[in-house]
Amino acid sequence: MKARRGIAKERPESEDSVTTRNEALWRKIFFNWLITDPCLLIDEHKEDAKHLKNYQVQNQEGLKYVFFCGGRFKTIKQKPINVLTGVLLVAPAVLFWIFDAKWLCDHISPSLVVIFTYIWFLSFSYFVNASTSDPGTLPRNVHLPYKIDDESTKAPEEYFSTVSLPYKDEHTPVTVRYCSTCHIWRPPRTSHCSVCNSCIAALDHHCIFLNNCVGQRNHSVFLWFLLSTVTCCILLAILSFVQIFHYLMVSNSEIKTFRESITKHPVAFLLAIYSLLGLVYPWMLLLCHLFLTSFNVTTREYLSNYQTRGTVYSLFTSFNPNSTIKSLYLNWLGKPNGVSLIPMRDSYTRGDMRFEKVNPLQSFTV
Amino acid sequence: MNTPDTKYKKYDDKSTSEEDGPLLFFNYHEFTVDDYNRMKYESETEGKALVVTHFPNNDTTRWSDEYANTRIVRVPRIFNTSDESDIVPQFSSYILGNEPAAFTEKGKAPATKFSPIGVYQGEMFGSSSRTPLVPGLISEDCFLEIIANVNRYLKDAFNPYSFWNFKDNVLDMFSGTLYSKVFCAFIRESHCKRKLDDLERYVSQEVNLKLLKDAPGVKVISPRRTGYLSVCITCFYRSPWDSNIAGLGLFRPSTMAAIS
Repeated sequence: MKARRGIAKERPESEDSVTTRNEALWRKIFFNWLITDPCLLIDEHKEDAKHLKNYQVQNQEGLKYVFFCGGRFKTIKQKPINVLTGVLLVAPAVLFWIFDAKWLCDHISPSLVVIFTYIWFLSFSYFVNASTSDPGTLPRNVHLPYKIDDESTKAPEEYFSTVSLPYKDEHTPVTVRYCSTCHIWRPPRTSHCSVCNSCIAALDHHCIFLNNCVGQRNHSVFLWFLLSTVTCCILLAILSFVQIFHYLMVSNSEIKTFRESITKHPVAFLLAIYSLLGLVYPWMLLLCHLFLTSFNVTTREYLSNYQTRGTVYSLFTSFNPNSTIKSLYLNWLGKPNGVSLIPMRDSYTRGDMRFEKVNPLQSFTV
Repeated sequence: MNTPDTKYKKYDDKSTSEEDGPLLFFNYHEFTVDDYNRMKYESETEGKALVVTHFPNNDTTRWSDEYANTRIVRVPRIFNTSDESDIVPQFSSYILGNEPAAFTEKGKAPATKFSPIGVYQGEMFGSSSRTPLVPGLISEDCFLEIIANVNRYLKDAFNPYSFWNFKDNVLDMFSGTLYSKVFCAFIRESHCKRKLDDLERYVSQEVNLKLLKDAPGVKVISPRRTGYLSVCITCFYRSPWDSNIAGLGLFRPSTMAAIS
């Protein structure tokens, strides 16, 4: 009897400790792997951890990255407008599949639904890729001119100048500048994004609808996203209008008036309006980027040159190949994706200079 | 005095650059210092600025022995050897210190080797753009061969007119990037990634093993680690009693004092 009482007393304690351990494990999975804000990492031995990955570490202040699924996807700690963009992409497709897809399969052809689904899938996939992938972030602290413990040393004045180097000939310059925040000599066309607080190769712009920069590694995906979204909107509008005006195309239709048609197919009417409204902004962006990419000019270069040189000359930068086809090819199909230059999913080595906190280089002025 | 004023003027527009003459390439990583401890007589160093041509090894971990005991020489990116130099990283194949706008002593022939004249932040530097690396630690031919091969691998990897890169992009476009996310991740990597892996193997297995035999203490850092921003070559400090390492090597000023 006493032994049974002893066993009966132990059960609640072991259950509690297992429950607590399970909760701690789920919390760790959620905060350290599923959604990782390096500032909120749950790790009792964070300072001395040998098991951390690079994406779980943030020693440098001012970085705003949040990672998902073990560092595979990333976003910025800003207003989540990209979530709204995602909803605006998914919602009409869901409505289409539920309410209109069957009618189109029965009355016209299933291939229309398949084609729409494929183009929508492309659009959504490009959106996810453009908004969560690395745009071409460059590693930090690679060109620090002094030892990290000697920050009080006078910074070299040359590192605050614009360096012009020869490009196609001795009179065509490309400029190289030192980024005093990232501590690297930036190649031409690389810019420091103040929102992401990182240098991005061939930075086009920081897109608030994607909540990510558009740079060398995801510029072509961004362009494909615009093109597929415009195509998807046009296709959805056509399919919806076909459904609404189908009564005019057949002789033995039960529907006789437009009002009857939209009463019978209200979602099609809604989708028609929605797709026409949703077409406006992506269409304008697509035209704008078609124009810029035909000169091999990024948005940032165009805007910064426009201020100093005016409309026409701002399109003719050093990297303009003077061929529309070549420029379009380079931007839409030519540039390889490359590799991520900051391996976020690699194991973190304590003291790795790329992830250490280093204050911005400052010029001493007398 | 070899000042940086003429090399670092701000070019606002083309007309300014044409008036100032042709643009010349130089190693933009280097910088000059006026306030330093002189190693030679005052008359020999008067009017001469120190040119900092080697740097702390920030490509390693902060508290490691390698960080304390090595210096780095950086080979800069060059942009006039390829029309797509914004897409294809290419590195300067000038011998370090022999660039068209390298610092040289006024009125003298360009320096042929690294000759320290002063100490700055505990390290020795000369008054020209020459580095201790070439020809002190490795030969000019060895250096040029390394840079040429690195440039060749990068051109193969990033060439936008390559059929294989075009094929990868087209497949990516029609698959909604699933080709690069799934197929390239689990089955066969993309052409660009494979060529970059070849480059990493070339540096770690061919170059560094050869340097371990011919020039111990000299090592080329993984180009991917440096973000293809520069080719960083480390040099170990040489102990004055180490007879295995040939060449000038790098001495800490304290060891020089011990020798003298």
